[in-house]
This record gives sequence, C-alpha cells and structure tokens, in this order.
Amino acid sequence: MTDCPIPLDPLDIEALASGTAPVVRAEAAAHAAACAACGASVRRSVNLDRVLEVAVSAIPVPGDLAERILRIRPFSRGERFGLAVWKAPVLLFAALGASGTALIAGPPAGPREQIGLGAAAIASAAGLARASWRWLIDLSQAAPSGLAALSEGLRATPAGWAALILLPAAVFGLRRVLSRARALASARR
Amino acid sequence: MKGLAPLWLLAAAPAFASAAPASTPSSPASVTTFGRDLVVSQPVSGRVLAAFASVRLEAPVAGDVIVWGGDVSFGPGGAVGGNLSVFGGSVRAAGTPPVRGVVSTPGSLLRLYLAEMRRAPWETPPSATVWGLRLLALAAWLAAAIAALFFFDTKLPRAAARASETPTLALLAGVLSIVTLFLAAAAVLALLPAPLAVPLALFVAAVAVAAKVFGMVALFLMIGQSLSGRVAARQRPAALALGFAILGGVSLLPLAGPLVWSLASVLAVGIAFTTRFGAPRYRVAIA
Repeated sequence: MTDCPIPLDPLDIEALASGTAPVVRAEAAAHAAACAACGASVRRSVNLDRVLEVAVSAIPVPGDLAERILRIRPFSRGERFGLAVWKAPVLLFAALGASGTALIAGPPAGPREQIGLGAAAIASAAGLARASWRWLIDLSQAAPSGLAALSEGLRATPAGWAALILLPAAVFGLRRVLSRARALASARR
Repeated sequence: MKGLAPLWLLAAAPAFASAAPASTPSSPASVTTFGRDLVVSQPVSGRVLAAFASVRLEAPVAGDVIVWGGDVSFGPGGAVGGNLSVFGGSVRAAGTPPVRGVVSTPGSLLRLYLAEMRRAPWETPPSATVWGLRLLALAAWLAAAIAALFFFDTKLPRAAARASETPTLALLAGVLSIVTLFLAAAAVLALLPAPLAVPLALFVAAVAVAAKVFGMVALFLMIGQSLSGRVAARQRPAALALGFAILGGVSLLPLAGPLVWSLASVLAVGIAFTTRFGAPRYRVAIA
C-alpha cells in the first residue's frame, strides 16, 4: 500500500530508477520529486538495482534473457487497465459484433427501413442472447441423458474394450511427445 | 455418410448395431447403431440411438431418438413419441417434425436462433443470417480471447513462446491428445456404470474444451507476435488481435476455412498440453 492517491506504475518506478524515460506517465519524474511516497518507491528500486548488480555480476547472462523476460512478464497496472493498450482487440470485437448484427438484421432498402434498422438490430441481438441461453440450457439438460444413452449403447459393442486396449499406446505416445517437447525447450535455454 | 441401411440389415450386424426384439423381430424395443446410417422402416417400441450415423424415420418410434454426429430426417410415416436430441447434426422434415417431446440440437446455435426469430429451425436460413452468425461467433471467440489474456497474462505468453519453438511437436501432441481423450471417453462410457461414466465423460469433455480455448488464444498470440515481431507486454493485445484477425479471417473462407480452423484446433490442444497450460517449467521457492 502507498499513501499516494495516484501512485506511479511499477514500470515507471523502474524506468526512473534505471534512468530511462517513463512509459506510462510522462510526468512521472516530476511526480516522484513532489510525492514522498513515490519518491521513496523510486529510491527503493535504485537500491535494489545496485544490490542485484553486485550479486549477479559474476553470473553469465544469456543474450536473449531480457527479451524472454519481457515476453512473459505480467501486465503492469497501467497496461492492464489502459484502454490504449487494448484498443486493437476491442475495436475488432466491436467491428465484428456490429457487422454480424447488421447482416442478421438485413440491409435497409429505404428510409422507412433505415428507421427500423435499430429496432431490427436490437431484436436480432435479443434473439441471439435468448438463443445462447437456450443453447446452454439445452446442452446442460440433453448432454447427461445423451451420454447415458450413448454409454448404454456402447456396452452392446466391443468399442469400449477396443478403446481400453488402444488407450495405453496413445498415452505412451503422448508422454513421449510431451517429454521430447520439454527436452527440446530445455536444450534451447 | 455411408448409404442408408435398412433396419433389418442392422439387426443382423451386432458388432455395429444391436436390436432387442420385444415380441417379434419386426417390432424391436430399441435400436442402436454406430457408424452406419439407419432407416427405421418398422415401428420401434423403445428408443433409437445412433452415433456417427444419420437416421431416417419412416415409421414411428415410441421412445426417444438420440443421435450423435449425424442428421435426422422424417419420412411420411416417421414420428417420435419421446424427445429428439441431435448432437452435432441437423433435423430435416417437410413441415413441423412430428415429435411429441422436446426437440433439442445442442450442437447448433443457428437453429435455436432461427427458432427465436420465429423462423422454423428446419427451414434453410438466408445466407446473410448465416454469415452474420458466423461473425458474431468470431466476436464471441475474440471476447473470450481478450478475457483470457486479461486474466492469464503470463501463462498465455509463456505458452505462445514455447509453442513457437516446437510447433511440429505441438501439432503431434495435439493429435495424440485428442486420440487419447477420445479413447478415454469411449472406454469410460462403455465399461463403467452410467452414474460414474457420465460425470467422468463430462470431465474429459471439459478438459478438451479448456485445452482448445486456452490453446487457441495462445495460438492467436503466437501468430500475431510472429508477424508483428513485437513481444512486449504492452503490444500483446494488439498481437492477439492481429493473430485472431488472420486465423478468424481464414476460417471464413469456403472449404479451406473449416479445414484450417480444425487444424488450428488440433494444434491448440497440443499447445495447451505441451506447455502444461503455460505453467512455468521451474518453480522458484524463496525460503
């Protein structure tokens, strides 16, 4: 917890500590200078950097370590909730949703139809929502009874025993492939 | 589907179809068929179950008709006294299907939607509606992908990074994973008692669905990062959108689209299992 009502993003704290430009808030340096809590966070980060620099100076660092870390690091607070970061998928989602709804509602042929386009789109969307709900209910109700019937039907055939005989071979093959994938990934490190 | 086989022929092939006669061979209590299309030309007093086969009803069935991976069509004398459940197939009838109970097609959202819009679910929908629903389905996929990336912001990038190193093995693992899950579900359903078999089969199905969804999002991310060359956290959502736009766009192509999407699904399951759902390879314990 921090006493600052608008604390700096951890990315900016690290950026200021390492002497590079902040990435989330442009005025981060001025804020850290004015705010005691955020200034203390930056100083802690500077001290941590110094400790780490001494501690790992004798350890060889792989060339692509920084990229690998950057690739899997979690979102910072600013990235997680920043609309600018998410705008591409959100805009694509909106475009897909609007296009799909417009296609279902049908193209307007004249002014009268254009007036009714909004209502048609709403009716389509409501129909889709109801259909999705019904689909979930249908699936939850029909799947268990359908599986029970399938189970009963399968008992009359040798399919179960055939599956049981083939299963160890499939599991063995899968385990070999998974082990191979892990070994290759380790060798690349 | 193969050519339709008459009911009496199926009854003579017990390895694939079984019929339990009630009193006479012409009125079986129930009929089961696997992988062979079925024509019900005589009344059935029990139910009809078909897996990976289509069913044509020319005579009434007193009980339920349950079809997995096939279509159901009605002839002039065909009727269902119980419920009609079709998983992953469609229902075809000249008018309203003569079904006394509930008609459910859980594999097809389209038919439910058409029913909601007061259009008969067995009528051929206009192509604009089909395209619209396909775009909305893609939008739903993208919404799921955005949510997954929001909540699994280290697991998904880790899975994408590892999958990009060994894509061939991931594909092979996908094939073997699907075969393994399928065999496990078949063995469980056929050999265990129903009260145990059904929940276990549902669990296997849930694992498969989770693997596909996780793997697909990792695949979108992998494609986007590979094409844009940007792997930083800040650019992850944009890379996800790029990868999704490419794979989703290809999936809309006729013929090639479904094939590519199916191949991507197999690869996705492989990515999920080879990367253990993006779990770190080494856990660091701080004493």
